[in-house]
Formats: sequence, C-alpha cells, structure tokens
Amino acid sequence: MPLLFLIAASIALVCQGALVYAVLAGRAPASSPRPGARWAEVAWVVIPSLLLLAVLVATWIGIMEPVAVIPVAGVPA
Amino acid sequence: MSQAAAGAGERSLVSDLVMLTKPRIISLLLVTTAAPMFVAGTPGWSTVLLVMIGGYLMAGGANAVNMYLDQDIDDRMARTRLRPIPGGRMAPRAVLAFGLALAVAATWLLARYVNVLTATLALGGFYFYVFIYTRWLKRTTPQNIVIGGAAGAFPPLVGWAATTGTVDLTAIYLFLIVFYWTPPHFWALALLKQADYGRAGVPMAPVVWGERETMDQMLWYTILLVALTVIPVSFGAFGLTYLVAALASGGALLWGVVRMRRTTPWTGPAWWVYKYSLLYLALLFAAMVVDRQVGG
Repeated sequence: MPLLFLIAASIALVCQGALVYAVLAGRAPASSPRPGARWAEVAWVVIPSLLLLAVLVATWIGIMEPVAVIPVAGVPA
Repeated sequence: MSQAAAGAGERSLVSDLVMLTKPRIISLLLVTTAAPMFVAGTPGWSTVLLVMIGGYLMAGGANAVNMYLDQDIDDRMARTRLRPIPGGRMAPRAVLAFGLALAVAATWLLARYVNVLTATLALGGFYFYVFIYTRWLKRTTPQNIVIGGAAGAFPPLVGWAATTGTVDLTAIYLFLIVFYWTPPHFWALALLKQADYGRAGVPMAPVVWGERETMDQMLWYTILLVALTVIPVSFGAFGLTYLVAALASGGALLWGVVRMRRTTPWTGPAWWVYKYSLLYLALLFAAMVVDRQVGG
C-alpha cells in the first residue's frame, strides 16, 4: 500500500507543480495589470499546494507509523 | 384580486423562495454530506434527516445571500437574468433577510440536535461561500473557482462530524476530493458561458486565460483529482470495490477532458464533461458507502 500512495502522491504533486508553474510562467495571468495582482495569483495557487503537501506528508507519516505490538504473556512479541 | 390570482401569486412566491436556494446545486451537496455519514459510521436516520434539513437550509441561505450580493451582475447574464431580484419579483433586502434567516435556522438546528462541530463546519461553508468566494474572489481573480471550491468541499466534513463528532484524515481527503473536483467541473460550464461572464465583468478563467490554458488546467486538475481519490485506499480507508469504482469513473472523466481538448468544436464534449462530472462525484461517494457498508 505504501507503493500505491507513493505513485498517487507523486502524480498529484507533479500536477500541482504544473499548476503553480502555469501561474509563475505567466500562462495563467491575473485579471488586473496591478503589480499586487500577480502576487495574489501566485498566493492563490501556492497556498493550496502547501496544504496539499502537508496532508500528503501527514498521510505518509501515518502509513509508515509502526503498528504498536502489545506483548501477550507467553508469546514472543 | 380574484382567489385564483392570489393563489397563483402565492405559488409564484414559494417558487421564487425555492429558486433562491438553488435546489439543483444543493442536491449534489446533500449527496456529499450524506455519503460521508455512512462512511464514518452507522448514523441514526433521525440524525441523517436533521443533517439533510440543516444542510439544505445552510446552503440555501448561502445561495440566497449570493443572489443578493450578485444582483448587479445577474441582470447582465442570460443564465441568471430570470432570478427573483433581476426579474423584479423580490426586493433585494427581502432576499438578504431570507438568506440570513435560513443560515440562523440551520445553525440552531445543527448545534441543538446534532453537535456544535457540525454546526460550526456548516457555518464555515456559509461564510466561505458568501465572503471569500462571492464577496472577495469572484470578481477579482480567475482563481476564484479554485479557492471558492473550498466552500463546496465543506459538506463532507459536515457529514463526517455529524456521525463521529470529529474530523480525521479520511474526512480531509473527502474535502480535498470535492475541492479538486470543482475546477474541471465548473470551468467546463465557464467555457460554455464565457461570453456571459465576459459581459458581466467576472474574471472567470476562460475569459482571462483563454480556452486553451483553461482546458490545460482542467486536465492537470482532473489527473490530480483521480490520483487523490485512490490515496485513501493506501491507508486502509477503503478497499478494492471503491478503488475499482474510483479508477473507472475517474478514467471516464479524464477521457472526457482529453476529448474536449482534442475536439473542434469543443462545446459538445464540454457539456459532456460538465454533466458527467456531476454524476462522477455522486458515483464516487456512492462507491465509498458501498465499500464501507458492504465491504471492500
């Protein structure tokens, strides 16, 4: 299952990266020529990217977390 | 006034009040609210009914306030010209009061009979839609639908919180699925109605970026969406039944977007993407319930 996560998360991050690049490269410009508008556009695409990254990292940590082994008397843990 | 005329007037008022809530849009929101309730556990039918009523009232209130705030541009778009305010059938202040009253009623109902977290999340969706999307982003950035999509992604959190009283990682993925579903879904409609949006001065993506870039971004969002839908399987939230459904239904959506980009004229495929994306989201959430309740 970690492999499924790694494949899906990698695809998601590549796509999100492409969306950020489209704004940074000017292919998806702001609707206003104001200087602040461009930075607002960048912020609107970067914020969800960071949140997505945070969720993916949290998921990976959850997947990799070792399952607690409860010792049972007479049975080696 | 004759009795027949008075009756027709009452019917017209009732139909206008229903129209203010945008019932067709809410029906999908209720699917994405109800399904997570059954994914999260086994809720009582009274809880499900209360959440459906509260969810309808909250979303309906947000839609009514949206029509109040957008009254100036609704008059300039063919799609919205017949709404109660531009149609001259209702006073703007009455529409605002109606919307706020629905939101207050929903908050009370959910907090009193379900739980406070559910009410808070539903109210969060209301505020996000009214203030962040309608008031702020809709008229200032072509990313309006992307960020504004978060408002439509609150219902899964509402449903989850209603059953469990908390929000966990699976619930966050349901939020993300609706969040990333919104751009390809709504931009298909925006492509078709771009002249309307242009006339109204609303900077929707096709108006500002053009058709090609909008379709490119729809493709990236769709691939991202399909990838996200399979991640809950990787941490054990869903099983094989859901995985197969997610890949098959997501693959069909992806095929539709690719076909739209390659076809000239693209209007037919764009309608297909818009309509199928509605079915897709409902199918995806139904598959989650089947997987959890029947077994993956």
